[in-house]
Amino acid sequence: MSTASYKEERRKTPERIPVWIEVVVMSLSNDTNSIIAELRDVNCDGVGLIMWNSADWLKDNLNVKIEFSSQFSSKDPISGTFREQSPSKYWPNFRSGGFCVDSGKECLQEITETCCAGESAPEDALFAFQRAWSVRSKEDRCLLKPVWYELKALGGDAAQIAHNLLTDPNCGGHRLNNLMTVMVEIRNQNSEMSAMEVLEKAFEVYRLQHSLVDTQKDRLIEYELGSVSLTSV
Amino acid sequence: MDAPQQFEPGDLLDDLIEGREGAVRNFRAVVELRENPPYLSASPERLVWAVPSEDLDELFSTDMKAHELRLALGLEPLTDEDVIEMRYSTAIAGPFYKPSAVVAGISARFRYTEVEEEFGKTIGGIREMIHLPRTVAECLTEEAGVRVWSS
Repeated sequence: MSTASYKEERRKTPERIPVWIEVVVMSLSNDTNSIIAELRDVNCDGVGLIMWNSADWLKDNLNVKIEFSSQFSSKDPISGTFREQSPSKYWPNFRSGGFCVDSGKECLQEITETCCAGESAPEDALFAFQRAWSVRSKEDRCLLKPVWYELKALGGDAAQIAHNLLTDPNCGGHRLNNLMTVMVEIRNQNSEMSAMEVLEKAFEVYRLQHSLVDTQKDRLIEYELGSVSLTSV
Repeated sequence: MDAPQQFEPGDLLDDLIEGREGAVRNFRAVVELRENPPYLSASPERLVWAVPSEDLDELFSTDMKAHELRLALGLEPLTDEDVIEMRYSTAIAGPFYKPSAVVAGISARFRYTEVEEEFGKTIGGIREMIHLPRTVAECLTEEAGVRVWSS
């Protein structure tokens, strides 16, 4: 299939669900070629991928296998054709790619249905938040949705912070996913805690448990021009 | 055997601020002796928030005061004390990342930016970025420097 035909077909395919799922992409012709990536979005026909490094071996039309990590690690691998490794428009230090599934459509269908089950994300949530929300369980969503709405209803700083978290285009799905994991733990430990208290505590715990590791997946800045120094105050 | 050279803390800092020869070396030597090395951030578990030097140079040239700088950077607490700016090499800092709302934590002063913008921006419109923890000693290379913003 030509790239132009692929793009045309992609336009016709069902809408893709934003997800955040860690995977390993491997070449089917050479076991030693593999790369860690994230699924960015998914439907029953294929997925969008994000990678933090270029991989010279990962060429257009290459047959690859995708193995799932994290909460989907029990799913069987899927195989298909890799498409279009290119710099992501807004994340120049990342590489994005597409994947058309040949074997494993049922698996993708199950993932899509799982990610659509339960409460939808708060109404003004944008793509990054939706990615993290999609992989929360139904129980987590029931627990968290009132927290977000309570924050917004409080107004002032609380509403501004909630708005930032829901709509920040620079927030990686990985950060939001880990923050919400911490929020669930805190809420389960104390159901009487106010939404603002849950968030304050969550930031404190998140900073210690996840912040430094999560930075490795953040958007890099190409700070090469101008002064050779930067400043901390 | 000669006794090791003794330094008064105030003199070390004054020499550093005034850019005297050997000041960086001496300050680093003393800092390296500390049992718990100081970090650029509040602790080894915290990310470092930094600003490109050229942005602060421009503001310094306008005679901005310390409390005004604090306001522009979104620093808390808002006191009237002087601000000490530490300048260090990008090569030491390592990769830089654009901050996001989660990284900012619970600070309503944090303003997120559109995805097209390469850097984050403080409440005062100054470019900002984050990098992983570094000790003060690591950053005290010969290119390093310190500047005081008066209140």
